Amino acid sequence: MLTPMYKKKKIITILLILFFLIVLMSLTNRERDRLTIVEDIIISAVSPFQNAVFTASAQVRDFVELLQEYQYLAKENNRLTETLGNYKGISNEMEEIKQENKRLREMLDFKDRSDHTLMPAKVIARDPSNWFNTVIINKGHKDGVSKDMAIITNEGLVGNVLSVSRHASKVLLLTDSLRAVSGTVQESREMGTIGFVEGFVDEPGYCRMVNISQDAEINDGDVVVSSGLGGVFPPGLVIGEVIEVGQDEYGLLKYALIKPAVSFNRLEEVFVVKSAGDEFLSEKEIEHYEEEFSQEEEWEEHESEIPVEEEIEREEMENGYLEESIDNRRIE
Amino acid sequence: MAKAKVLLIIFMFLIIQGSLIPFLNIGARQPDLLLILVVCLSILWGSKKGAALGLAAGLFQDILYGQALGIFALTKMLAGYLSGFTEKNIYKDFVLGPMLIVFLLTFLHEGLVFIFSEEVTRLSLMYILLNAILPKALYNFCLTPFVYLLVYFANKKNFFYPIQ
Repeated sequence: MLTPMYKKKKIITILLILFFLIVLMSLTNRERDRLTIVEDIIISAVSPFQNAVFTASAQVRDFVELLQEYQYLAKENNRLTETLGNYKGISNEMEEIKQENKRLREMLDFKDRSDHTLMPAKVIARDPSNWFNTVIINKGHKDGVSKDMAIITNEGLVGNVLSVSRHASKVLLLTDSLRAVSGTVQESREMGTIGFVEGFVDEPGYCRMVNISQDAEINDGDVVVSSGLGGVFPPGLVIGEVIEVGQDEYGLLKYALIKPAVSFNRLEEVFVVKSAGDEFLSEKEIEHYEEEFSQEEEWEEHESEIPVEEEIEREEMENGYLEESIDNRRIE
Repeated sequence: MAKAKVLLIIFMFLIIQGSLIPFLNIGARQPDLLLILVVCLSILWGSKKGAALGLAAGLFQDILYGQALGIFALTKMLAGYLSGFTEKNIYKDFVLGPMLIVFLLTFLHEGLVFIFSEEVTRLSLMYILLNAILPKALYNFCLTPFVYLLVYFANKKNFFYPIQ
């Protein structure tokens, strides 16, 4: 079968072109000093457009890279913020530990200074319905805690143990309305009773000292401490500071509004007073002191009968003795 | 006028390929837009015009980007010539045919370039096949629909009249 003439021509043309191209390849496949005029014209004509497209493409690429970089920076920023958050957490934790350390040091110092046998405890919960008045501590009867033991901090009186379980105890705070503590003004030694301020809803957490006699010396700023009567709370524990003094509703007695020394809403570590040494008075001791008190009264009555001259002489001798002892100390 | 349009499109594709595609390359692999153009137009126009188109496009590519004149001219002319044979045997409304032709002719085109270049003395054919030719064939395969639809509708609108 013969190939048509036009097809032969076509194939021959293609072959010729191929041959020409191969020759061209072999001729140009070497380093040339100069381009041909045709190449020069074509390249010169196209290069501005290439330049424009390349520049635009480069700008687009830069923009895309900028966006990618922005995304990277945003991610980096998020990551760093997260890391910073972690560091903040660590920092807060460290601050927390520092504060705890400080508190514990203060408590330790207080424990060393205290005459009482103290057992440290940690507040582990607050009554959510009425968190102001009861808290749970992490010591129970296994640790030697028993009902009515006093709970204190280095700031002052907190409350007493209301109920005891195996490893935890519920503490009734000083501010609870069930609470009644015998208190006394530190300077004037005026006696009264500390109770919760009922009706003072605008000022929760304050106490009221009631049953204070009309002629008692009690003023704003006076410090009220526990008197030790009742046998629950050791004497001398700071209850709070008087911020207001007024007449009761019948006008017969005074009352004092007291700001507690302890920050009840920030309670974290407390002490359970396991024993109060010799500060609590037994019944025999109370009888003994009553006898002494009556003897003192008799002595005062007797003293009033001593002539004035003898008393002056005795005072002078005493003063001389005191001066002499001061001089001796100066010489030493 | 139609020849000027074709030349303009060839230069456009050359400029895009040389100045834009390098910014869009994937893993240092670049498509051959000009090959796709040549094959697509050859499918529409036949082998004679396809060969001429391939020759012109390849020659300009040689001038602008090649080392030795004639390599791309020869390979693209052959690609255009061979793809032109499918003019009457392909369903032109369906883009998969041109895609497959481009895919296959990329192997021929790149293989010939590999043979004519000095790389053949240094690298094994299998290495080039797997690492250069196959990725480029796949890349071309994926880009063919865009180019083919462009020239197909331009051709349908008699944009290249009277060449077409």
